[in-house]
Amino acid sequence: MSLRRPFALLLLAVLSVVLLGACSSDDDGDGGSGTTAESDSTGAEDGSGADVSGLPAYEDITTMAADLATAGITCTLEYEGLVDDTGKEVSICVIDGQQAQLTRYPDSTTVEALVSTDTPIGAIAYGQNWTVQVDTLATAQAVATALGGEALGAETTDTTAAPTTIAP
Amino acid sequence: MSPRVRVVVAALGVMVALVLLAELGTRALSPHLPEPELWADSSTATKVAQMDALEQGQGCVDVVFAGNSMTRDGIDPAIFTAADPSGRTAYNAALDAATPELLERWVPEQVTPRLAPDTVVIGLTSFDFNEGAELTASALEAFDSAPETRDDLFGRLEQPLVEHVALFRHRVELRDPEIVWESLGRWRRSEDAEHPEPAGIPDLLGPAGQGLSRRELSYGGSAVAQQLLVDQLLNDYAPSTSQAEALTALAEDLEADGTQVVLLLLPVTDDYLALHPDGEADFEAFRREVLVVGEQADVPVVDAQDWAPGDEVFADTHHLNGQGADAFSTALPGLLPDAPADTGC
Repeated sequence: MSLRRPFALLLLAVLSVVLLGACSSDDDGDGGSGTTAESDSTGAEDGSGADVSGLPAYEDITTMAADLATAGITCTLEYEGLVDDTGKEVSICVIDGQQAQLTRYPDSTTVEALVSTDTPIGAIAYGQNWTVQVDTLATAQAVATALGGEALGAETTDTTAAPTTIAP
Repeated sequence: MSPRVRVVVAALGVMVALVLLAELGTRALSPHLPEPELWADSSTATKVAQMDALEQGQGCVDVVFAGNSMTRDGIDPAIFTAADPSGRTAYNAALDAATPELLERWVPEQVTPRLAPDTVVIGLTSFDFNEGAELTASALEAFDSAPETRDDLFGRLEQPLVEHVALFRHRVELRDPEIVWESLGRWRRSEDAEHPEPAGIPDLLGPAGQGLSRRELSYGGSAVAQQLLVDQLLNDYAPSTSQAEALTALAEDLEADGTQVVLLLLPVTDDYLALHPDGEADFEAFRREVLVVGEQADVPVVDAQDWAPGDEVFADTHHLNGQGADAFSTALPGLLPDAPADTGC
C-alpha cells in the first residue's frame, strides 16, 4: 500500500496533464488560417502547362507577408487571410502603391493553369501554391524575388493603373 | 473512509491544485503571451479594443458607422464630427466584407452594447446582397468560427471559459513550448507581447476605426482591382433574400431599441456598375431592394451612389481613397437626416 499510493497519485497527475492537453488539442484557435500546402506537383500532364513543382510553397498568407517584410517589401494585410470552402485563402495589401491580391491555393493545379495562360491579368508573382497579382511587372518581379518564386506579365506597365499620391 | 476512496480524493486534490497552479501561472504570464486569436481577424480585435476604450472613457458615441470595407475606408469619424453642425461624436465599426448577415450579429452583440449610439448608419452596396459573393461568405465563416463570436452550442459554452479562464483562453499558445519560452523571456525582461491597441493598426486602421490602407491609391482602371471585384464580390451574382431579411431585422431591432437607423448607399465608380453581369440594371435592382427594406423597417435610405465627382476620389472600383474619404466625411452630415433628440452622449 505504501508504494501503490504514491504511484497512483503520480499516475493521476500525469493523466490530468495529458487530459488537459487533449482537451486543447482539438482546436487550433485560429479560425482557419490554412491547410498545409501539398508539396507534390506533377505539372501539366500534356506538357503544355507550367511546372511549378520546384518553386516554394506556403502554408498561409501571413507567412508570405512576413517574408515580404523581411525582404523589405511592405505588405500590410487587410485581413489575415480568408479561407473559402475549397481551401483557397485570399487577402489583399498595398505594395509599391498598387493594390495586391495574395492567394494561396490548396494545391499547385490552379497556379499551373494561371501561369499557362497567354494573357495574365496585370502581372503575377507565383510559387508552387500561391500567387500575388499586381499591376506592374516590376513589382511582380520584386515580389517573386522576395518569395523565391517567378514573375509573369507584360513588359510594359499598365500606365492607366499607375498610382498617384494624393495629399491627405 | 476506505484507502481506495482516500487515494481518489487525494488524486482529485492534486489535480485541482495543478490546474489552479497552472491558471495562476498563466494569468501572471498573460501580458507576455501572444494575443490569442479570439476574433475573426486582428482588425476586429482592434475594433473591440477601441470600443472598450470608448465605453470606459466617454461611455458612448452619437453615431456608429457600420458596413463593409467601403464604409470603413470612406468615412473618417473625426472629420464627420468636425463637419457636423451638431458636433456629433462618431465611431467607424465597419468590418472587411461584412454583409447584413454578419452585421446582424456584430452590431447588436458587440457594438451597441459598448457604444450605445443614438444613430447607426449602415453603409451598403450591391455585393452586400450577392448570394454568391466568395469573399463575404468567407468573412462570415471566419466570424462564425472565431471563439468570441461563434454562435453554435460549443461556442456559447466556450465563451465564458474564454473570457474568465486564462488557461483556456491561452490554450493554443501554451501548447507551443517555443512560444512559452519566448513569453517567459519577455516576462524576465518585463516586456509585454503585442496586443490590440485602441490607437489602431499602423497604415491599416485609425483610432476611430477608419481605414487607412487605401488612402494613397488612385483608381485608373486597374485590371487587378477589377478582377478582384469580379472574382470575389460580384461572382455568381444573384440577389439574396436572406441578406435583405437580415438587414430588415437589424434595422427593425435597432429602431425598437430606440436607435435611429439610416441605410446609406455608398459611392461607386462607373466601372463598378459596368462590371455587374447585367451592368447598371443589376445595381438598380439592388437599389430598389434597399428601398423596400427601408419601407419595411420604416428607416430612411440615403442614396449617395452618385456622390463622387469622378474616379480620382477612388482607390479602386468601389473604395474611396484619402481625398474621397475626407470629402465624403465632410459632406455626410448634410446628407444624413436630422439627429434624434440629444440623449446626452
